[in-house]
Amino acid sequence: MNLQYIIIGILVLGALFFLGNKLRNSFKGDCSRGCDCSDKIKKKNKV
Amino acid sequence: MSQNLKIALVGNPNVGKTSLFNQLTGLNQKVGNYPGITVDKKIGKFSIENKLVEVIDLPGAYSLFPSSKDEEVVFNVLTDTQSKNLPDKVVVVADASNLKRGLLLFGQVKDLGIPVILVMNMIDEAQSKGLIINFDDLKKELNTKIITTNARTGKGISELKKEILSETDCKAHFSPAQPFEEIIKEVQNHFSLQNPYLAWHYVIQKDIFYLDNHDKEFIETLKKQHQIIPKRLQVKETIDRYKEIDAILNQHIQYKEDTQKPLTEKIDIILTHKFFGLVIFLGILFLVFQALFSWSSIPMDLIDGFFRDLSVWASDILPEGPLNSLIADGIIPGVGGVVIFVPQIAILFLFLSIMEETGYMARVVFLTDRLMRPFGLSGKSVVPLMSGVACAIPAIMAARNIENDRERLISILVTPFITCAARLPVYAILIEMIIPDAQIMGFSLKALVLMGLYLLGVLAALLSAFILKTFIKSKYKSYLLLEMPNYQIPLWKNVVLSVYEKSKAFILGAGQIILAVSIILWVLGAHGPQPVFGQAEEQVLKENPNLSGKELENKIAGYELKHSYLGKIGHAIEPVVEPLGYDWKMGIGLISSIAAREVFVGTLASIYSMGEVEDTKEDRKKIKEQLEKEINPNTGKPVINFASGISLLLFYVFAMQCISTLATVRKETKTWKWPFIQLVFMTGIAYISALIAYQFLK
Repeated sequence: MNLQYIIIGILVLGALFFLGNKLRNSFKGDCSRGCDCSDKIKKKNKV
Repeated sequence: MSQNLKIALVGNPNVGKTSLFNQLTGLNQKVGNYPGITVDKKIGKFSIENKLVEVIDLPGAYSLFPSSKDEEVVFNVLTDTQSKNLPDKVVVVADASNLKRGLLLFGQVKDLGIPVILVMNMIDEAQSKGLIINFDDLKKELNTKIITTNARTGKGISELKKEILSETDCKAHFSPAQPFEEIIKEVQNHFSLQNPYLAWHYVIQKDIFYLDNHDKEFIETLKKQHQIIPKRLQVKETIDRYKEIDAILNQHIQYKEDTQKPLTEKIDIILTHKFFGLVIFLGILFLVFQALFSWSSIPMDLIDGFFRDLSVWASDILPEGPLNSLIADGIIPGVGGVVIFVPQIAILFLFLSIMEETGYMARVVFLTDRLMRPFGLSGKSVVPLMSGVACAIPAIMAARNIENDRERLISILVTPFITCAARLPVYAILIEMIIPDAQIMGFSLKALVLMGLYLLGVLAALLSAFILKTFIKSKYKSYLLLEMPNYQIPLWKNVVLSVYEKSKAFILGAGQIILAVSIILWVLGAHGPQPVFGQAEEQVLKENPNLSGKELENKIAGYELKHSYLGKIGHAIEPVVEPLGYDWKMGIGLISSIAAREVFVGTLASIYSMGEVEDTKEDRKKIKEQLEKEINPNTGKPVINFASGISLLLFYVFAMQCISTLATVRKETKTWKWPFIQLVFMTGIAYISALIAYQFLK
């Protein structure tokens, strides 16, 4: 049971980190759905 | 491998620059058969003969006299000698059937002293229309290398790659007219410019965007001293260049006599007809919405069934405990609630992509131009509005090609009303649940309602534009100058790629968010403040002493969810959403929609499956059944009934729930004022209309 709680704890931390990152990127205007840009080109578009 | 060369692709709008860029770099940048898709520079790379070539794809421009934000990008990249983006070589892409306009830009770029290669794209099409070009003489006359390509099929790409590496002549032939020699010399000396044509631009441009104020003042003083009127000189240069181009083309290009009207013109007589054109457009829209329901029902049902079985399987094989509950009751229903909509997203983008590829989208822009004008929008606003059907963010950026600042701002502010792909899942599930499976004059009622919601978004955008035009003043109006591309059979590779990319982006984007959201929701739903949360069984038995077995377990699960942290948060926001006909669980769904609208259904699926015990396969329900069965404790009616469903639909039509869109508006308008007004205005309308609808219909 303890192992299960440890796994859940890691998942929760991961989820919080991911959502926090998403929120920060949202404020930069990044779209969660890709919005016409493939990930590949987004990475290369850092001019 | 070191980077050896930087090249820029420039050309008029819709000549196939981005298709060429994709062919050169192997990337999949968005292309379409209508102008104005690329509004910012994009960078890709390819290697040849052990050398790395960086390719910059630039927005379309008719000349080096920018009239809109996207054309400014082209001017800046080609003339800012201090910038790291300054290309070593430029590939000017011209539509072989419309060389005259392409050569204007070509001549200007060549006079900047940058080595230039001329690419004649769509050459097959031009030759089939009867164009005969004497390439050898034209090359000599223009003093350039000419490569013929078909960027759609990849023809001529390897020759172009080789040519990019070879030596290219960069002899400019510009010399200023006598009255301007002195001022050009002064500018050349002040800015240490070798090229006189670049100095000429410093003099005749309205603004040189990358110079500092001190340098700008210097130029303005010179202009005053020499009584320079920039616009007049720009027009004069354009006319002179066209005279020269006409002479060259008359000499080296011939057209075979063809008395037959081209097929495109014949089709356009009907498709751009002011009445029949609109009727056909509405018919096509209806066909799309009809297909969204009829074609997607079987795959959606299969996906729904798959996730239910996956949930049962996970519950069976995982050891009893919290992890079992998190995965079987939290994550799997949540992710299933997103993935189920992939067929509809794929069908929507299949149609959009076909409309773009064939060239029909340009006709839609033309058709709707007239309808936009009374609302303070120009035809150019139609491009962002139409792009908004996919996603508001690139759509708002597409407004960069609107010259008039007021029209650009209004377009930016109203575009988020257009129904984007993220709203589609919410509309689809609600319509499926509250609209009967009826037919009206042979048309599916569900498809009609879906079409109505899209049109309602358009109407909201137009009415808002009408209101905004009274507050935001402008001295002049812009106009729509649109070149109709020829109709063409869609390149199915592009269509399939577009559908694949969109579906992948949907699954990865929304899928990752719902995965994270379901984990957080489960933790908040499975834990609560003590001692109340821990006394669930005691309390339930105290209130219902006769309960036992399955019924008792379900009551306990419901009690726990209600008194969990999630329940506490939900109940705190319930007073705000209750007048709209929603329970606290739907309130949580609305909050999670801020992360991504399309996770609303996934969130509900996750929360509803937490509030009950599902021991057997029969206990586990598909998402739609789960939503239909759920009862709102405040009203005693199903949570999604006709009144609350309509209220929720209206809320989603109008509400501004996308942080990324607000951030993009901030970027484009350079102030937080407009996104703030947008947020308050749109969410206000959403709340009030949802409230009125529910209170009338309940």
